[in-house]
Amino acid sequence: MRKIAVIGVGSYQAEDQLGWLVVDQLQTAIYGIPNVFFFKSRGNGLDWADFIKDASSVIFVDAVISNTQPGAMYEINIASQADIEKNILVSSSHGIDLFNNINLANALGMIDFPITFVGGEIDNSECVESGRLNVTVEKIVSRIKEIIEFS
Amino acid sequence: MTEKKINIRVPVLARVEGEGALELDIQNNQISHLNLNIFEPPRLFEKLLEGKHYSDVPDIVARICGICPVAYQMSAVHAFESLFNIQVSPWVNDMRRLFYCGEWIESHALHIHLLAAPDFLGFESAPAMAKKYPAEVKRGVEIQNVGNQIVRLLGGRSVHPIGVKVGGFHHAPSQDDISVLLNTVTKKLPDVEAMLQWCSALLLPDIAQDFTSVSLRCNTEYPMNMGKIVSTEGLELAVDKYQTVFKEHHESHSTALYSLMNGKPYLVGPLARLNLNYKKLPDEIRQLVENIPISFPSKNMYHSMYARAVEVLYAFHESIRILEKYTIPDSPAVDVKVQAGVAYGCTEAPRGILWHCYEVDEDGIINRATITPPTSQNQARIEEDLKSTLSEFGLDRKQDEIRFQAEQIIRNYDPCISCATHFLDLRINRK
Repeated sequence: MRKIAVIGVGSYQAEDQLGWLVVDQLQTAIYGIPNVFFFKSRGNGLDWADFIKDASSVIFVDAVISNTQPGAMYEINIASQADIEKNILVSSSHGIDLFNNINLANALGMIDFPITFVGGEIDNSECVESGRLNVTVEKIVSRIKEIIEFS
Repeated sequence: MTEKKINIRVPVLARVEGEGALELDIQNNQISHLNLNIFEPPRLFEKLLEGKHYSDVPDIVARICGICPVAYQMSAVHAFESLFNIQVSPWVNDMRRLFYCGEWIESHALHIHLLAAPDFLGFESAPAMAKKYPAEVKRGVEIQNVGNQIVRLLGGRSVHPIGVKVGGFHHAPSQDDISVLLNTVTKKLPDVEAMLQWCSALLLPDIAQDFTSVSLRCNTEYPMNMGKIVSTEGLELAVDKYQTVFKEHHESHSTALYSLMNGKPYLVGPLARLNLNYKKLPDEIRQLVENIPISFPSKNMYHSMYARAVEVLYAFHESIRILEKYTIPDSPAVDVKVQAGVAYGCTEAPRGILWHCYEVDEDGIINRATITPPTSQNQARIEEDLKSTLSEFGLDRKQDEIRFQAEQIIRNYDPCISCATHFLDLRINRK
């Protein structure tokens, strides 16, 4: 059976939790689908590298700070090295951003294309939640459910 | 006189942790003004700690840094235990040492392979380097992961761990978990030895400088958690006397404080530690080091990268030694009885000595906190190095070349400016 790997990138800090909250809700929402596996990453290097080894489909979820409207959802299909490079620095709220790590994993031959990135614009990752986070999370959960159903 | 102003902004990761900028004025081919601007947030953590109970401090200060949270926790618990006259068990001392080994491994492996090595091999980034040196980069990531596993075992998680308390740890790992980790560390040791050889073969710039090294020194071991503060100038100072010699001050161009020793810049970190403690390394490691053409003490700042590699190897050996003799303790912590007073602690973070001071009342509440991180201590030294090395490099070179050289110099210190996206914004004003 094809393994679908869903990786939520996040931390315990305020709206930076987004990736983890999506994973939590998805685990409940699609309970019973045996080929979908979840991993919570702290954005700590390639901590997800082993998890995706035998996956045929990989979905990353992360918070995004790009100074656009909080709550905005992004979906990026990464099918080539060029797709990675053009998204570096516009993606993650984390210091060394997710696309840099994907870039490194690709250079090391650790990933297979295509990969899907789903992000949600957040207000801030440091102090307080804006109150809009749950709406963003619900939107992303709904979209990832669709992706899983069609894959 | 013609005046030429050039602004260069580098909107890509420059492999420095945090946001920084460099202002450089060159007049008649001489540096007339040089500022390393650090946009590190003010140490609001110190204010945040006021009114908190001492027992909350280890988990709060761990949040200061995602790379070296163990160091913040260790300096804090040692400070309180010193004030409260607590003698922790040998088991706790060993586990703290193991914990620190994990942090040194992850931090140094990250810096060597992903931040510094691309500079010396002519790549703009680690992914670019990984295309030509996939085995070496993969090895670095795997070595870093061993460090993460050690920190996770004792701290519950690898970033911002929560396993530490004043008096010891919240839990003791099971014998089974220890066996798994011992197997992992032992298997990876040959890769670390290969990394050391690889680092020693890199073509590092041969530039000697005069600087003062400062670190802890302990009679019984290579310094991590214990010891006096010593320098290559002959300083020997108890941790609680730190502020008699080291003073922090504010510079208007930087949000990070500058720390000076008797008014002068100094170096902390792996090169300073090795310069002052080389003889504390076990014989088996010194034999490996003596087979290569780099010796300690060293006046070449670029040997910092090699010093990190030596410390990774040491941390692996030390981890194996501690894991092999592991036994489950009766209790992972000793009881604590609060005393009012001033608590001082200093331990060796991956980037150098990290000094903490807390004023504590009779209920264990923090009235005042002072934290001096390694990057603040190295900031003046970095500026001194930039002036010296850039002048030697040639100030009439192209701006891109100067910018790259400046970034390389700064990266060499592995400054932990913040955990945010980072770039070096260089502004050269030529007159």
